[in-house]
Amino acid sequence: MLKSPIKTFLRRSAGTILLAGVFVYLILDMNPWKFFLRALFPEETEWIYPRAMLIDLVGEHLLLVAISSALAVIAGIAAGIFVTRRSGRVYLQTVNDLTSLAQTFPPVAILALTVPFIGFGFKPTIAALFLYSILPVVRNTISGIGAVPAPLIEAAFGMGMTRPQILFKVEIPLAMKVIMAGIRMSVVMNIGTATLGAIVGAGGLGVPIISGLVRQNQAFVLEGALTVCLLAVITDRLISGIEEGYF
Amino acid sequence: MIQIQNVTKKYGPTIAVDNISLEIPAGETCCLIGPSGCGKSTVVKLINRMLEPASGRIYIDGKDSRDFKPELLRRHIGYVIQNVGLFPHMTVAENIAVVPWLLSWKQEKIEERTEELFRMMRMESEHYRDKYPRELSGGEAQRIGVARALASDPAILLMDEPFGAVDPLNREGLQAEFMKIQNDLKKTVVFVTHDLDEAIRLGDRIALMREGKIVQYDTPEEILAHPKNRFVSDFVGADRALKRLSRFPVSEFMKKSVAVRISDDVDAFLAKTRKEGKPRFVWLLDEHERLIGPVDSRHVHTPFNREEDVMEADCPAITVRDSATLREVLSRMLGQGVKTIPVIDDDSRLVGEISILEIEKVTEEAALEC
Amino acid sequence: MHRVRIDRVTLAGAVIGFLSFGLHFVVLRPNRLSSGEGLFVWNALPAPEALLLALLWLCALGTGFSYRENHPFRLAPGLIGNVILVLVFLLTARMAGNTADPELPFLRISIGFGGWIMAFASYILILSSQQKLTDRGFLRLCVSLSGLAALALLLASGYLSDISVIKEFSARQGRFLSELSQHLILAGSAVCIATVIGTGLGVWAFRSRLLERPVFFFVNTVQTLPSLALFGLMIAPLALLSQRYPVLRDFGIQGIGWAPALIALFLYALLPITRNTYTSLRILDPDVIEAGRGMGMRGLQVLWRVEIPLSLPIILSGIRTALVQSIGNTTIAALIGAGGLGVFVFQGLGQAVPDLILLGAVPVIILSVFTDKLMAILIHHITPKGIGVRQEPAS
Repeated sequence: MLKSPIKTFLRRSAGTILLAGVFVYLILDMNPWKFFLRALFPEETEWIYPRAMLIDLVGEHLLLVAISSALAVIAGIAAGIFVTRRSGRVYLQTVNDLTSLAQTFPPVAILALTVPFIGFGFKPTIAALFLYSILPVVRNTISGIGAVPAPLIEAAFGMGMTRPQILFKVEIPLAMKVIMAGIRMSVVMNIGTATLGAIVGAGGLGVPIISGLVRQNQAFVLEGALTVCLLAVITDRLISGIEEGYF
Repeated sequence: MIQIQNVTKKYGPTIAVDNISLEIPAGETCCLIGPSGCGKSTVVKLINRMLEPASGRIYIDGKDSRDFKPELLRRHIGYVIQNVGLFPHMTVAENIAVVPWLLSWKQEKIEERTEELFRMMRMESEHYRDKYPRELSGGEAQRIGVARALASDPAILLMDEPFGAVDPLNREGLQAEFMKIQNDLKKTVVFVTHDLDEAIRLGDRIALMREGKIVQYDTPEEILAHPKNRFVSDFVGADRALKRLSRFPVSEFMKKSVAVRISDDVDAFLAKTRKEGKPRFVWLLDEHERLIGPVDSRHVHTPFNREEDVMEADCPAITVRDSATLREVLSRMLGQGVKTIPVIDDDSRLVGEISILEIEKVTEEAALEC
Repeated sequence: MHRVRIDRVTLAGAVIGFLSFGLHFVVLRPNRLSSGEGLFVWNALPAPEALLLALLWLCALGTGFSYRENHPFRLAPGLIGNVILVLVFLLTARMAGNTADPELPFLRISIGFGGWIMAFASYILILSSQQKLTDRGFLRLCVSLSGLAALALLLASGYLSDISVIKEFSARQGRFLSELSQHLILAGSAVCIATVIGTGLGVWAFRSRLLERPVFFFVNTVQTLPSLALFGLMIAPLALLSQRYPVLRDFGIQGIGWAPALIALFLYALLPITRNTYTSLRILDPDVIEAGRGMGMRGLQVLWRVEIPLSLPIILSGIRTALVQSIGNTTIAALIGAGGLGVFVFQGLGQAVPDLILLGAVPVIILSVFTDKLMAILIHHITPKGIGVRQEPAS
């Protein structure tokens, strides 16, 4: 039973794994960069962002995303489960209204606004990223669990399942696909917003991009932009693969 | 056995179940029937404590149902609902195994029991066990639903319109299977239905409900023969005499038929029959005792000519299965304008015949009140 | 007799409202650059005003504990919430106006974290009333908008002008307006072009099974790319192009500026519009079109009277998403020299001037929310009665 999801996952993700391989290579070896960027921008003097190694930047970026997304997923699913329980149902409408409103806020605005209140740097950025990436997770948890048909729950009760058993054995497995989609949206969006973290002193792959824009050095911009784009696409495909291979 | 004593259930100002008392002896099938909103589904849910009564008590095998934790109670009661409620993310085998898992059965015991249930439902285990509910037809899903309810071998089975969403052809089959299984297992069954024919066919007793009260609780024969009031007689309908016939299985009333195999000496047999004078019609069977058709012993060719002398019995309207009831027999007779119908088994072999005389005898013996 | 029960949502709002008293209501800054000192409600406001706020929150708390199902109680939280919302801004402005210190001529007073939390809590009260007034459309509208309308009026008539962010605005009004219009023009044009091309792509992808995969692969992939990166990626090709064809520079097309921004914004706006066009065609019941033809409608009539009314709400829904997204993304475009409200945000971040950040970020948020609600109303009115437009599936 466990073999087939893994097999489908591997088959569908072949392209992604290849891409990931290329990505890892490109972070470790800067020679292709030098060659490629020099060919594109012969008039520049520097092609590789000097103040930090690409691999360190990627690491910073991943850390930003990983911590904030992990927290967001845990808190988001917990909140989504809470408002779909008997005791939390009063808050369901309010949470829905608030999250749908908050999702119309541009992420850059949220990031920018936390600075005056929480300050610059790594930790405040994680707070801002957490606040924004929790939204799709909560919404999708709510809609996923809400989509479980009532007769199923009734049958589960009738068979003698307790409420926690119904949650874990019926509701969550059936909602998993939608929840996963929400997590994917959240993480990919997070990678994008974390790029802006460079502006508030959080490091990450936005640093060479901003530096390149400021110093009018296209090579820096490309170095940062290509890397973060690859990162985003690979992450999106990987999580998609889990989503589909899941069932 | 189930004892419901003075139970009332209210939803705000509405009274769903009004001070009803009902006793269902162990091993019996009690059909709850009535117009929609009469409270029949509510009664079922009160038994397994999906709903709690406002007043009154329910005793299961002598013990107050309130003495148990609701989950525990429900794990020992089988529950089948109309929409089946099979978990779409689990295979058929996993679905069946849910209650045993809840009861912490050992894996081997669960496997064994699953196999047993597949056999009981006459479904091939290898074919079905790893399928998902969406791959099953309506009838198959329903049978798995019943199997799932029987998984922990509960003494009580609650069924709330289980065959309601199935097409009539399959429903008949499911009903027949249910009766066979119930015959073997002798569970205490509470069966909710809105289909009176189904209730008459399956129920040892019928409880007719209206607006939260039990109007009449009797055997089907009694309800049909002696309806308590106008509501009951209107409910069972003006054709209750016909409905009663469906309580009588044809296998109990058919008589032996006179038949000859085509491989035997047909001419000699027919000659003998002509000499004896009766019966006039004789059944022709093939080598495997399967019915071919009737032969009129007075008007045959000599030698016997199969093409011209037999009315082929392919048309199902002229035969009736041994699992049928007298009601179908009468229906065939009226439809075909014949007075005698052969009875065949699953393999089309002749097992007997039934005539209008047998039916008349039955109706004479149990005259209905006006 | 109505039962008395506890209204948990109002209660939650009231609790948050009370908690906000423990945070800084306003922040005083000696000048626009340095960090400020925070003051609590009772320190910042004169006694009667502080008491008024406390009293209002107590009322909210009371309503939460003894809620009854009749109209006064349904309206109460919303009313209280609206009043508090307006007061937060008004009282801060009054306080700022009355606080004049000759030693600090450049004193800046802005709403502190506590003030914002109090505003948020008042919004929860408003939501609470909104939820309960499902049947009374007019009352519901009043509850939702009265506070905001009052704030808009106060802003326009200058009553709020002493709050530091407004001061910041007055100092650069001209610039603000020009960046605002640049922002709107950029976002608007991108969505317009994306509508034209996106609907076309959607129809094409629907008609041709062959095209479906690549089209969606492309638009889906673009969506996952970080906006800053995509903006950055657009610069290089355009820089090269404008070097090779200097005539482009006369049009303002060069490496940085509005051109790469517009292209990137257009690409982002493609997905929601293309996907929704495709979906709207997918779910069109072929039987309905059959019926139309059967009744004698010509092709164009079927299009006009059947297909478009049915698919328009969904397409508009996609445009709505594209618009909101674009307004947000345009903010980032400021980094590549395209102008827009992002200019203030990033200047503020770079120079550590919080008011500048607010001057950029708050209007962007207001624009996004406003556009979203406006489109929602439009879609609601365009949807033929008897059909519900499903919320876009979140994936």
